[in-house]
Amino acid sequence: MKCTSCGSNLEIDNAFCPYCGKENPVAKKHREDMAAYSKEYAATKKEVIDNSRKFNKKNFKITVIAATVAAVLATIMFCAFCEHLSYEHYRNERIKRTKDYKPEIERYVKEADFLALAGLISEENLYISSVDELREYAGVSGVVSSYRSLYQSLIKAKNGEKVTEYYVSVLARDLFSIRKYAFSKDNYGDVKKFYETAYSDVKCMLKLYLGMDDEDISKIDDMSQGAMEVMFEEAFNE
Amino acid sequence: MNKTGKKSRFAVIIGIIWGIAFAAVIVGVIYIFTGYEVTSYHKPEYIFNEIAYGKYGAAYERVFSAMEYEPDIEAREDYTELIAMKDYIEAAGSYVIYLEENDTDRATTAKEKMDNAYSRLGRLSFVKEDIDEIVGLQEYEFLPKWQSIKR
Repeated sequence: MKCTSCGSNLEIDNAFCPYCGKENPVAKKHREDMAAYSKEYAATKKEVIDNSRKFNKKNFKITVIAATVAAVLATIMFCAFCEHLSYEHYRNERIKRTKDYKPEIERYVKEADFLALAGLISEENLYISSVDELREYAGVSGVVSSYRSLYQSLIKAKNGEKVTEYYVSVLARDLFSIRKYAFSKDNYGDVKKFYETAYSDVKCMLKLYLGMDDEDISKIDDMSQGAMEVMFEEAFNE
Repeated sequence: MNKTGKKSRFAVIIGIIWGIAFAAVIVGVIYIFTGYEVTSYHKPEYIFNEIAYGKYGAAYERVFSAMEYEPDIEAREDYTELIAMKDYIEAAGSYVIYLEENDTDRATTAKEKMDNAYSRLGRLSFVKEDIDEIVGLQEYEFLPKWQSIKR
């Protein structure tokens, strides 16, 4: 560029003409523009850095919360999976143990030793209904459990110990269940005899420990579960 | 609340959640390694208490429940006599039922179980008389070869 006063060549950095000393307006404008650009650049840079920091802080919070929630959910799912695996393992162990006790189960069924079988099933946590080889004995667990429950409650009643209302309804359910198996036409052989003997024993128990007479005992064959419950309530309240 | 306060509150909440989780893991590990105690319902002293009050039915119920739910009860010395009592109650009651039904085979087996259980009663041998009375055994007069007549 040229000086507007003397016409000599000037550089953009020359604030004044080195020959005549006149102020260079282009250089002045250039300086002002550069100052404005620098100021705007600094402001923009600061704004970008500030926004970036805000985003990082927000991002950090979200990440921490998400990681915590994910960890909790993963723990819950892992525990559920472990529970499932553990249950499967436990179930398989029960089935295996039940198969190992097959000879004892068959012996107790043949001998109609209900309390001994109830004890074996409870103590060893057997799972008869899930073993194919013992499929015909599927109802045995329920019957011996009902038998033992009845025996326990009747002994308590005979001894003058309190039997709660809840147990009275349980007794009726147990008696009804045993009768159902005894009268069922789906069973045969040792199992049928087992159920019939259980029912016969229970009626004998009612006579011995609840003081029921033969007439009352004979009515049980046709009673509904509700009628049985009333019968027990009356017997315990006497 | 200023930004510093908000940051602190957030850090505290997250810290509490992780702290609870960590504490739960520690407690769980300690629980696994500090051994197992039977529940109070199954403790021998409470069962003996039932026997002391003549509540043989309740004692029987507790022993049966203990054998069902507590591990390795049969191996514990403090349960030997209680299990014998439970076995005696079952055998004696069954014996009377089988006598009533004239089921000689089952009565024979039940009598053997009764004798076996009685031999294991130890300090609880005094319960025999009470249990015999409850199940109605004292109402029978026994003849040779397992025959019996009611008094």
